[in-house]
Amino acid sequence: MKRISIYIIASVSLMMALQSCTKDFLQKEPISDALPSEINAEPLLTGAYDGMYDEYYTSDYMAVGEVQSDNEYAGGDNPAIFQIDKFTVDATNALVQRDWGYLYTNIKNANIVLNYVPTMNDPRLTADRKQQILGEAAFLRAWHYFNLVRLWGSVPVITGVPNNVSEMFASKKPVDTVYAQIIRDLEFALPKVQATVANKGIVSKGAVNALLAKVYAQKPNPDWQKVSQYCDAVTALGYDLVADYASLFQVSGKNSKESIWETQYDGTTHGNWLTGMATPWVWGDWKKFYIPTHTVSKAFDDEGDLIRKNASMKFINTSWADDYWPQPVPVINKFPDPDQKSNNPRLRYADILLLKAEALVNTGDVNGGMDIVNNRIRRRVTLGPKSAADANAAKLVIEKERQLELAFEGHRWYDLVRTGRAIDVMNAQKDGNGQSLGYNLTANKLYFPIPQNEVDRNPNINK
Amino acid sequence: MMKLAIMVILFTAYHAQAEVYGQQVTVQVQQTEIKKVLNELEKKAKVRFLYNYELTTLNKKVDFNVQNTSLTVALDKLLKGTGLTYKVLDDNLIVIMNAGDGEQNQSNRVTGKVTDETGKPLQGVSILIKGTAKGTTTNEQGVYTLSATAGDVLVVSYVGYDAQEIAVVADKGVYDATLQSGKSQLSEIVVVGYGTQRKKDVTGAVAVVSADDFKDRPIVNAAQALQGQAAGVQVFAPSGKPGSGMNVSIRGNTSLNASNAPLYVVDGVIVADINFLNAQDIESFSILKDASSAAIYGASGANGVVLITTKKGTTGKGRISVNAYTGFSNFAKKIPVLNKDQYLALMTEMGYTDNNTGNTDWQKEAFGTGHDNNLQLSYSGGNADNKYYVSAGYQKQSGVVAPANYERYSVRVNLSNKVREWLNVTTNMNYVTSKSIDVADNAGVAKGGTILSALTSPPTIGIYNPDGTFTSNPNKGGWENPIAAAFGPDQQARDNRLIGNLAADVNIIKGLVFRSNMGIEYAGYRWDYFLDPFRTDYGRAQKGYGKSKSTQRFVWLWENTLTYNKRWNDHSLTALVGTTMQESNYNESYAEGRDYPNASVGSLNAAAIKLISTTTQAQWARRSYLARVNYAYKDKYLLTANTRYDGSSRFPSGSRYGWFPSVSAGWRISGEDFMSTQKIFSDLKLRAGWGKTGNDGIGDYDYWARFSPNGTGGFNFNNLAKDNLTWEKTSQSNLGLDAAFLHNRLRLTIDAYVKKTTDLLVSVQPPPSGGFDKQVYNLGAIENKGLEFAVMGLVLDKAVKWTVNANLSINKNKVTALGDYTKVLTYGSIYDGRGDAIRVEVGKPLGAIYGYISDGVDPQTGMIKYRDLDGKAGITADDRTYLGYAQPDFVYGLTNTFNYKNFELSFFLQGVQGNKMFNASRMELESMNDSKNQSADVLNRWKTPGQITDIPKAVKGSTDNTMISSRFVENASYLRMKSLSLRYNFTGNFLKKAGISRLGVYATGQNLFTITKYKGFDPEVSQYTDANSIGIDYGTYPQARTFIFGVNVDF
Repeated sequence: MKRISIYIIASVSLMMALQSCTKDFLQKEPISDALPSEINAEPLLTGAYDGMYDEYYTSDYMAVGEVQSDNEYAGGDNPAIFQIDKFTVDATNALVQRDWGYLYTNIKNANIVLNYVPTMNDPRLTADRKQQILGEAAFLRAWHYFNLVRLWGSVPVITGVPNNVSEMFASKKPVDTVYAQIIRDLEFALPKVQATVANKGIVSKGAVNALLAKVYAQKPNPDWQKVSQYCDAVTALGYDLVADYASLFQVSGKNSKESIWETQYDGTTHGNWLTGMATPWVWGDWKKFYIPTHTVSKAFDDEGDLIRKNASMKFINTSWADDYWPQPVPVINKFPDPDQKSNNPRLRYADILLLKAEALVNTGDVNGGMDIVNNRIRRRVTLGPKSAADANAAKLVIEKERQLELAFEGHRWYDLVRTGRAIDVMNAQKDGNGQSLGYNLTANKLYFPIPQNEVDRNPNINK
Repeated sequence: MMKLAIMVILFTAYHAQAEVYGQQVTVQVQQTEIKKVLNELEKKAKVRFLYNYELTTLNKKVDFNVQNTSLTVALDKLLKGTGLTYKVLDDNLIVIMNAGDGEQNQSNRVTGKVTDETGKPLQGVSILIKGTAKGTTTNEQGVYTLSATAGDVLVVSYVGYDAQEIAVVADKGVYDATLQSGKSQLSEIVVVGYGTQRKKDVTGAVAVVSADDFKDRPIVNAAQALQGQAAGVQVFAPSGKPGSGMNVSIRGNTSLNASNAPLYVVDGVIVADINFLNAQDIESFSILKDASSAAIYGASGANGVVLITTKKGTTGKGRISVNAYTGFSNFAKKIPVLNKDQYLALMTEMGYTDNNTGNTDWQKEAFGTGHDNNLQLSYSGGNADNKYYVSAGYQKQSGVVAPANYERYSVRVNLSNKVREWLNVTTNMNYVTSKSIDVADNAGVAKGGTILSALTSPPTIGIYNPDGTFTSNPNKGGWENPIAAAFGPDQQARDNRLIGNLAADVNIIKGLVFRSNMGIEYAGYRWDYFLDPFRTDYGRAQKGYGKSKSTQRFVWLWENTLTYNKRWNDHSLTALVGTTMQESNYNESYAEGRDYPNASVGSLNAAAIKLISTTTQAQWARRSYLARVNYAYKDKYLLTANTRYDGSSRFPSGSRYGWFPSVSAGWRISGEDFMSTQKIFSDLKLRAGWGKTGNDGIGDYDYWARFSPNGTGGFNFNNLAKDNLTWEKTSQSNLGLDAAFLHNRLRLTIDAYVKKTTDLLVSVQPPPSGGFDKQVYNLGAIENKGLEFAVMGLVLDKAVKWTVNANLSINKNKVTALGDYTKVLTYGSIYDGRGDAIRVEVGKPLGAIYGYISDGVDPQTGMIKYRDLDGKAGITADDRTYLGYAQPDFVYGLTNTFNYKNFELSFFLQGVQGNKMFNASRMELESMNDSKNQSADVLNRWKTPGQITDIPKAVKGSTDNTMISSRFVENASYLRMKSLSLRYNFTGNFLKKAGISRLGVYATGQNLFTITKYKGFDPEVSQYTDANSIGIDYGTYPQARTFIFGVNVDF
């Protein structure tokens, strides 16, 4: 018995010794991810910028900004987009749910830069660059909130980084509070960011001023003085219209002097697959998701606006039958590169000029406003001058001009909402045969419902 | 007074029984005491003799000379004329006694001959009078003689065969017995964690499936062999594609997001799955179902453990085995769709034009005949010290939907060598390489799903356009025909596996064995995909598209255990302590490119534009300490206690280790004196146990605050730190009863259990406004309760022998908590953008289908009426409710085997009852909102106001009629003739002349018919394989009906 005990003790000791010879055996650090101690500021900022390549900013912004308006029909086979087109969305609509998610993910990534970088010990980071990084991230956060508030109205405002899920139950905030946050971020960003940039994917003072102008125009109570002020600030930075309108949408015309902020696509690191969703040139000749309307086509034709029409849309023979058009069917032509290298314009000087015109009209200077429309915007595309008897007429002229100038760039729906014209315009829509499209748009459908998955998972959302 | 010197040698039970009679001994002595001869025999034959030292006969000196003789023959010779006899007990114990002790009344002699199934005499069979120590063994001719009186019961038992009981009806007489080689005999050795146990000593819930249970079936994936064969084990095939994996769950699903797969251990090596294993190398599966048996695997034991033992060499002349089969397969069902005219009428109604004039039957074009081929060669054998089993296998399964294909080559070498008296080394090596070609399923035509394309492609088009490109839906480019979906991409996957282990058993001193086991699993996987730039629409648009993925996994496992065995008086004790370490290293690379100048080279070196190129790596490790005690008193009172202390690298240092104890007890009631006179039970045992097991089946780095590279220069903070993340724990209580009746002709096992999983590892879905994706936390709880019944019976035992093997399992699953803030979790996304069909909520089981209630077609409008449940105007998300549950009320299996002369007929029925399926395929087939072809049911569609029908009207572009609703929830209960097999075993002298020891031919039909109300191809499918999203069918590749013809030959 004693001998056995000795053997047992010896064997067990041997096993334990073998077992414990590797002390850190169970400490396995991530190999293909970085730990907080290993991260520096620049890649975090890049990570925040890359939200601009997500599904919302690449494709869905077309559905919510243009398909919802009188510029585009929904095509494809995606019932969620059909619902958006027809104003029958509910809280479970796939786009309503995913776009909300994308925007808040992007806000989270901006929040991380804004919360972590100020205290980050990164010896390679200069003080100037640190300020730029914070400014750019603040702009991005403002930009995402601007899209949220335009689509949903009241939304949660989140500026911190949670430690765990239980810190993620935020209540929605009034529209004014959201706008106040947007303006605060933009005012924070303005002194920090670079004045001008060659790569227009980077946020500059032009972008911040331009977004401030758009924000003050879009607010429930627009401040046209501020709009005017920030438009002038953009102009002061040296932006100007390019001579050839069509060149704006060519690969060769990227980052022009007219461009204030545009998302950059090189076709490999980032491919602009919107071209695949809107045209047969990338992904093949199947029924496309975004189809220009008879309304927008007719609007170009009524103005004799061939330059902008041809730059914006193209009639082609398709292998599929369209729901609204006989052959040939028009497709969008503003993102034409088959190698997915077309950039997406986000803020363009023509938009700012037309906002300036609108601000002038709204502050009593109808002639000043019409002067911009006629001598800057219309002259470039060789269209004759328009006249307006009064401020209301001028506003309608500007609205039409914005529709044609900025077609398919994701502005139309928000213009109709902020001018209070969405219900009238949409309910008057007719198909190619003059039959009403029967949209039955009502005031409660101007904003999306809070997504069902947010309601299901966030007990505080409506508190 | 009578001193019995009991000496016990302890071997692992695994070696013990098989060697008692197999030993060949050689002893040559002159004028030596019988006692000393016995000592010599003990050494040679590894047995122990028990005898009274006062037996003077043992001191008699004899001349004794045997050469390569079996032990029993040697003993017969030695004891001849001494007046002594011997009796064989369990565990290699042989009692030597006066013949008179065993045969008090020479006049009441009963005699008989014991043979195996083939009529061969069995030597050394133990014949024991039940309830006494009186007994004898058979001689070389298989004949026994002993004295017994009417009313006695003879227990005839032999290692590897089912024991039989024979009632003695007259004091004299002939009682022959034919023993069946069997698996369920009480003295059968069951493989349990880190050792073996006699089945009669098992106190947990362990089910065994042995090679015989699936011998004539075309098993490609080893898990198929478990389906319907063991109570409490639910197996389903999410897809019928060649070589596709199986879902196995033991006693319900305990986890929401962590793995629900059992732990697989092949010959002591933990492997990630068993898809690659050649089923014909498998000797048996031991399924550890309850916590007390699985707790020794603490880590990952929560889902049960499947221990797989592969075939080993046996002592004796080498044996060469050949098994081959060939066969074909097809789909048992066809879904009627619209023909050309009916299709065109529907298209015209919706405003589409289609000028094509064909009338293609796409199901006929796409669904052909599959082929199955298998060849397995093996040789095995050995002697007392060295044993070998070597096999080579080839298996090929061509799918019903070409070009789906699975082809596998496997080699296995299993060796056992006694290197020294004190050292035994076991080596198992298995290399498997397989090649598979996939066809896309579980997707609609828009995403290239072949099955749904075959159903929804217009009959009007042909396969090819005049220019050689594939056709697509004339009203929807990109919706390509099923041949394009299947043959458009050129793709192939290759899987290489090497698993092996080297184990050394060191017999330190009597009773003490140290075992060191080193195991490895290497898995290398490679997948290549190429879409040429010409034949398909997408290929043309991308100018060709290529993808490639490689993964490698290397896992090593090192286990050291020390086992101590002791048996004294009526006590028996086995104690085990051990340590284990396991580490996995994984890496993956993935690349994607496009723009190919031609179709001649599909690998990515020909792609002009490189889109993605990434590599990632990951590791995990576990370290464990374990201990176990088995104690038995008089073989009647049994106790097993386990404990294991496990650490996992997937949890932070503060909460890394978990304790997983268990205890179970058994009471062999039939061993009690008060049971000795009853005639009903031949065996009766009550078992009870409780234990705790764990699960760490989550991501490797879920507790770390992680910044992930996004591949374009940026990093995103995606994973929050979780400082308290720890083991998911499952406590399980089990109550079981084993009973045998009618001299073991009827055996019944009943188990009841309650499993409670706490600290559930849940991928919490945070509110989207939080900006973070799913985060893993310990919250919530799941409960499973169940009952299991297994019955084995020998119904007829005459010229025709009929055995029945049946099992039925009931499991009730319920989510009992989801933590403080998670109200619901949703899974099972339905294309396209219709939302999730499966909802997890407290109080509901997993697999709960959630949506709107359809009240049929409104005769006035032709639209589906949904029930307004929330009282608010209109149909909103709040009108959804639970529509049915994907988990069945019970599952069952029934095997009947008939033997008559040389024929064996067996059929195996398998079924599930009470489950619902969301038939999303039918949603595609009855949507009538685009230019897809539709099922023939839409001929009844609503056309005029007032029409009463269950099919709504066609509305182009609208999904209002195809929301997630009760309209598509179907009863998916089924009863399936899983297998029907007829075998003929040849006998006769011609075999001997040809050197053949066994020759059998068989024909088997698999999935011959299915009785179900389910309208889709197959009720046994699932679009998603995770336990949290079962119950959706969306164009899943159904299981084929297979016919094979095979032959087994042993030389």
